[in-house]
Amino acid sequence: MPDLSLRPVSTASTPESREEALSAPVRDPLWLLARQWQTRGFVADDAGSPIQVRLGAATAPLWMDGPVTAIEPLVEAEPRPRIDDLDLGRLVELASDLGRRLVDAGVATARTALAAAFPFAPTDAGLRIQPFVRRIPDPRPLYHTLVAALGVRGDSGTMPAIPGLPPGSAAGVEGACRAWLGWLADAVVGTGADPAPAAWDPERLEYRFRLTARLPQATTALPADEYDGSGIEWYTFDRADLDPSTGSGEQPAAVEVHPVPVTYPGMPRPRFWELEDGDVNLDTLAGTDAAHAVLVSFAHQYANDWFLVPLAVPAGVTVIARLTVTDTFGTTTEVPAVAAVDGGRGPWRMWELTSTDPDPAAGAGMRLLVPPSPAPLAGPSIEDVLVVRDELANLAWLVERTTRDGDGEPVDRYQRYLRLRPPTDPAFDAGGRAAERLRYRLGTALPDYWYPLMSATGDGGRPLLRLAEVPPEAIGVGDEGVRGRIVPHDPGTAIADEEALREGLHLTRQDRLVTGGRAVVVWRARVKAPGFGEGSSGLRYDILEQ
Amino acid sequence: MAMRDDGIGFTVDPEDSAELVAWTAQRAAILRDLGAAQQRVAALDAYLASPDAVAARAEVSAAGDALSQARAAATTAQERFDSADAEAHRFEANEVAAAVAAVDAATLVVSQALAELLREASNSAALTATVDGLALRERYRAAIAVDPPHWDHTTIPFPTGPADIIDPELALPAVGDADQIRLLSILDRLDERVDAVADLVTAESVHQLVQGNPARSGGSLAVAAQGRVPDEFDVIRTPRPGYDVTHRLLALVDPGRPAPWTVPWPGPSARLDPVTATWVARLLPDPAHVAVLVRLVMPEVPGPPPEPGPIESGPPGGESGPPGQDDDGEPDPRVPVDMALSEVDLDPFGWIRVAANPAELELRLADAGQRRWRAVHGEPPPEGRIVVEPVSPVPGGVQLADLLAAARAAGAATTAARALDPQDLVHPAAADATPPSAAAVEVVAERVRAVEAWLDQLVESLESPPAEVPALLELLLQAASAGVAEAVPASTDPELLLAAAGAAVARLRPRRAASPFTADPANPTGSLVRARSRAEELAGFRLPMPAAFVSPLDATATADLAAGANRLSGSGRSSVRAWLLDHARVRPATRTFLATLDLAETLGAAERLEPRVTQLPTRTVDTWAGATPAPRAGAVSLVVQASFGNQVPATVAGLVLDTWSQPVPAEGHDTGVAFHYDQPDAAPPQTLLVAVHPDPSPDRPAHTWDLDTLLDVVTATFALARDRATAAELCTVAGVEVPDA
Repeated sequence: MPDLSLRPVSTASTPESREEALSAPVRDPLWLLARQWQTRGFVADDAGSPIQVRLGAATAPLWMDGPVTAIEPLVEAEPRPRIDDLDLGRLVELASDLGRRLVDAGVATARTALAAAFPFAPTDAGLRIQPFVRRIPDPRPLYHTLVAALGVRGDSGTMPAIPGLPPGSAAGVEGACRAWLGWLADAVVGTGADPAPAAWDPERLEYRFRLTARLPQATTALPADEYDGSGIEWYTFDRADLDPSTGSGEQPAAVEVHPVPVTYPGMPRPRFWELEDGDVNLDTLAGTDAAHAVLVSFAHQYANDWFLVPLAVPAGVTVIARLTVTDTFGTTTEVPAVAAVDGGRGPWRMWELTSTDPDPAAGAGMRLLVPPSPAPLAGPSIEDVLVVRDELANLAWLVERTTRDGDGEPVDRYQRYLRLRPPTDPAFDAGGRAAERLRYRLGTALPDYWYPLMSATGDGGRPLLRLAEVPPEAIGVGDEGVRGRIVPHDPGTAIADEEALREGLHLTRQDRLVTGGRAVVVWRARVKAPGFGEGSSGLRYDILEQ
Repeated sequence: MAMRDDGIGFTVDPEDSAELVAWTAQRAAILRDLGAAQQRVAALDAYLASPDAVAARAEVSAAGDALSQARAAATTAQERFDSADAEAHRFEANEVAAAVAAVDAATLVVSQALAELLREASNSAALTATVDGLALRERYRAAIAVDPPHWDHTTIPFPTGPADIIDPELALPAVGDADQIRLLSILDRLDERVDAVADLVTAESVHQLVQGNPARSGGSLAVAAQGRVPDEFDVIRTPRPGYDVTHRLLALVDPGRPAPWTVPWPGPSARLDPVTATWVARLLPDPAHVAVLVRLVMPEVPGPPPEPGPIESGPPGGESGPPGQDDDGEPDPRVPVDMALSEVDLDPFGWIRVAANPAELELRLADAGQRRWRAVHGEPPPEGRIVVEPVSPVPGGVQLADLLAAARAAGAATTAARALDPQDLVHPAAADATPPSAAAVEVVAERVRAVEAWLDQLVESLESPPAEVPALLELLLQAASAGVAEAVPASTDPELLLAAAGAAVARLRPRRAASPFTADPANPTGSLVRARSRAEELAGFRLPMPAAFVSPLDATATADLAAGANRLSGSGRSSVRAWLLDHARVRPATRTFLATLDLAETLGAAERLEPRVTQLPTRTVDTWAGATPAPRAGAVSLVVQASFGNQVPATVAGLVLDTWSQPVPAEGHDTGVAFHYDQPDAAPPQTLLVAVHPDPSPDRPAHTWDLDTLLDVVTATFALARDRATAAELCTVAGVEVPDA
C-alpha cells in the first residue's frame, strides 16, 4: 500500500527508508525550503561573501653579477674551452665552417692555400678524423695567427699575409676570416680557461652558488649549496642574511581582482540540491589511504571557504605584501599570510624558501619563481662516471664508464679495456693456464677505468676520498687520451667522504640547449644523481693463481 | 590273497594275491630307491673326503672363527668407544671449559690489539657508521615529549653532568654542554626533515588526486610506506609556461636528378631505393677516382720488388694507367698495377655495407684485383697471390680508407633518417597533404617485385650450385649484396664455397614470398608502408625508400627554398649553419648529418652543405624561428638540405633527417593566490515565493505592501516550511494526505 503521508518519518530504520532519506527527492516548494532550512541554508552566521580582493605582491628580480634571465646556463656552463683543448672532431667542424665561409665569399680555392699554410696533421687521429688530415687547415695555429692580427672578434687590425693565396682572393679571405673569428669568439677562448664551472664544488661534486633579491622590506641572499645539475627549482635555494636596512622600500602597487571559489574534480558542492561531478567520487576513496582521507576531510569541512585570485608575476622572489578582502556588505578584512599566522615554528615550509638564519620568522612567506625557461634539449652523455663503495676492497672507486677520446667520440671504457687488456690477464684464458704452476701475486689486475679513492683527512679533520695512483703493473691498459674530466686526474684531487654514499654517485656531463635571452644558448653541464649501489672491482691482495 | 578283519586281527587270505604282488613290486621299487640313495650317500661321502671339499670346509670353519673374533673385537671397540665417550664428556666438562676460557682471554687480547690498531677508524673507506635515522628520531621525540627532556637508555643517554656516565661506550656530551646543544640542533633538523618528507608525500598524493591521477596518488604513498622516498614529485615542480615550435631537418632531392656516379649492376638495395642511393652517391667520392694497387706476391721474389709503374698519369679514371714493362716490352708481373675502385662494382649501399664488413670488402677487392690483373697482363696471375694494397698511387689522392669513412658516415646518416612524406612539408594544422599518387606507388611496387624475382632466381641457383668456382663465387657475392654475411667464404676452396652457398640459402629462403607484392591502388599510403616493410625483408636492413610526390609547398615556401633566397629574417647561410652546429651538440642525428657533409666536402664528393630555410604557415614578413628568442607560436621551421639544384622541382622526394620541438618560455608565471575566507553558509532559497497580500478587499489601494506585512508573509512561509519538515509521527495536527509517490 502506498505511503499516503506527506510527511517523512523522523528515523530511517529500514534500508528502504534510509535510501529514501538519502535520495533527496524533490517535492513541493515548502519541502525544498524545509530541506534548505534543515541544512543551515538560511543561517546568516558569517559575514558577506567576498566579492573583491586588493592584492599587493612584491617581486624582486634575481641578481647575480647582473640580472638573471636563465639560471641554468649561467651556473652550470663549463667555461669556454681553449681552442687548443678542443677535440679533433670539434676542430674539424671549425675548419669546415671556415671553408664554407670561404665558399660563400667566392674564394673557395683559398681553402687549399690555407690547408697548406696551416696543415691539420694530428698524430693521434682516429678513423673518423683521418680523412681530414692534411686536407683542411688546422684551426689552432690559424686562430692564434688571426687573433694576433685581427683581435679576438676579428674587428680590428690588418689581415696577416698567408702564403699561396690565389690572386684576387685576399679581400674574400679576409672577410671570411673576420666573420669566422666573430663567430668563434662566443665559442672558444685563446688562453687561460678553467675546465670546471666557477660554481662547481669539486669536493662535493655539485654546484654551489648564490643569488640575491632585493625586496621592499629587505635584501636577501639566496644560497644554493647543493645543486646537483638536474634542473633549478625553488627548493634549490634557501634564504639567508636578510638585511632590512637594504630593502628597496617600494611598496608594491595593489591590484583589484575578483576572487573565485577554489574547485577541483570531485569537490562536494556546498548547496544541497546542486549536482556534483559524477566522474570523481572522493567518498568512495576516503578509507583507502591518508591522502584521500585528508582530501575528503578538507573537502567536507572547508571546501566552500577557499578562494582563488589570479596573479601574474615575473620570475624572482615574490612576497604577498597585502591581501584585503571586501565582502558584499562592504566590510574589508585583512587576510594575513599563513606564514605570518603560524610564525616561525620551523625553517621548512612547502613552496617557501627555507631560512638558514637563526630566526626563520623574519622574511617568512617568501617564494621564489624561477625564470620560466623550459626543460633544455639535452644531448647524449659526454662523460658517464660512477663513484662506488667497495666494502670488499675497503676502498671507494671512481669508475669512468664512458669518456671521450681525442676525436671527440664516445669511448665505452669497459669495451676498450676488454679489447686492449694484456694477454697475461688471467681472465683471457683461464682453462689454458690451468696446467701452469702456481704463482704468487701481490694483487689482482685492475681495469684501467677503475681509479681507487683512498680515505684521507682534509683540513679540519674532514674525511676525504683522495684519488690514488695505481702502479702501472697493476693495470696493464693505459688510459692516455681517454681520461675523464668531471673528477680531474690531478695530484691532490679528492672528494668529500660523505658524498660517496652507499648507493654511490652517478655523474654525467652533457650538452644542453635552451632558447633563452639570445636565440640559442648552448652549454655543457654536469649532473650528479644517485648511483646504482655498491660495486666490487674484484681487487684482491696476496693471491696464488695458476 | 587278501587281508580281512575278523574281529581278532587281520587275516591274510592267500587266495587274493594281487595286492601282495603289488606290495612286493612297491617294496622292490623302494629298495631300488634306497640303493640309489645309498650310492649317492657314498658318492657324497667320497666328495666330502676330496681335498677341495676338505679345504672348503676348512675355510668355512676359519670364517666362522673370524666372525667370532670380529664380534669380539666389535664388542671391545664398543667398550672402548663408550670409554672414550665418557672420557670426552669428562674432558668437555673440565678441560674444554678451561680451553674456552683461555680462548676468550686470547680473543680479548686480540680485540684490544685490533682496537688499538683501528683507533684511526676514519682511515677506512668502508662505511662504518650507519645510523638508523628514523630510530634516532623516534628516540629524540620520546625524549623531548616531556619537559624537561628525559635522557636515558630508552631515549638518548646524554649524561646530566661530566661525572654522570650513563653508558661508558658512548662518549656523548653532557646536557647543557655546547656540543650537546649543537647535537640537539642537528636532531631538530632531522626531525624537521622527516616531517617535511611526510608532508611532501601527502601533498604529492593529494596533488595527484586532484589532478585526476588516483593511481599515482596511491603510488606515492605506497613507496613511502616501504620506508623510501619517491624519486619524482610533481607537486613541487614549478609549471613552466610557454609554447612549442617545431623544427624539421630535411634532405629534399629531385628524384629525376642523375646520380654523380653509377654502377652497371646495382645491388638489391639500390634497386629498391634508387632515390636514397643517389643521395648517398652524392655523399661519397666517386670510386672511379679512388685507386688502389694490385700487387702479385710470388712465393720467392728475387730482390726487392720494383717501384710502382708510371703514376704520373694523373688521377686514375675508369681507365687505369699503363703497367710497368720489363726489358722485353711485356708488362712486368712484379710491378703493381693500379686499379680504380669503380672496378669493384659496388653501388652506394654496397659501399656502406662493406665498410662494416671487411671480409666482403677483401673478397671483392681480391676478385676485382684478379680481373684487373687479367685485363693488364692478358692472362691469369701466375703462381702466387694477388694482394690489393689500399694505397692510392696518386699522392694526396683519396684513399680506400677515406671512401670507407665516408661510407660509414653516410650509412649513419641514412640509418637515422626516414622517408619524407608530403605531410612533412605542410603545417600540422593545415589540411592533409595529397599522398603520393597511385602511379608513384606502383613504381615502388614494381621495384619490389623485380627484386623479389631476382631473389627467387638467386635462391634457386644457390640451391643447385654450379661446379665452377667463379660462377659460384659470383652467386655468393650477389647473396652478400642482399646483406647475407654468411655468403662470404673465408677462401675460394670449393668445399667452403658450397658451405657458404648452403648458409646463404638458409638465410635467403625465408625472405621469399608465396606471391609477388601487389599495391592497392585505392590505398597508396598503405601500399607504400607495406612496400617499405617488404623491402626491408628483401634487402636485409631498413631502407628509407622515399616515394616521389608533387610538392605541397606553397609558392612562398617554394621561393624560400630557391638558391639565394633570404626572405626570412635571420636565415642567412652562416646563421643557419651556426644554428645547425649548435643543435648538433644535443641532436645526434643532426651531428651525424653535419659530419657526413664535412667529410663529403673534404673528399670532393658531389654534395655540399646547403641548408635553406622556410617556415610554415608562410607569412609575408616573418622571422625564422631559429633566429629569434620568441618565435611565432605554432610555427614549423623547415631546414632543408637542398639536393635539387636552384629551384624546388615540381615533384620531390627526400629524407627526414631529424625533427624536434623547441619549447619557448613565457615571460612570466601565471599563478594564483588562494586564501581562506569564512564565507556565509546562507544561500538563496531554492523556491520562488509568490506572495499575495493578506488583505483581499478590493478597496485596498495598490502598492500598499509594507515591510511588516512582507516579513509576516516570509515568516509564515518559513513556519510552514518548518512544519513541512516535521516528521510524520511527531505531527499532531491532522493534515491533508496525498499520495507521496
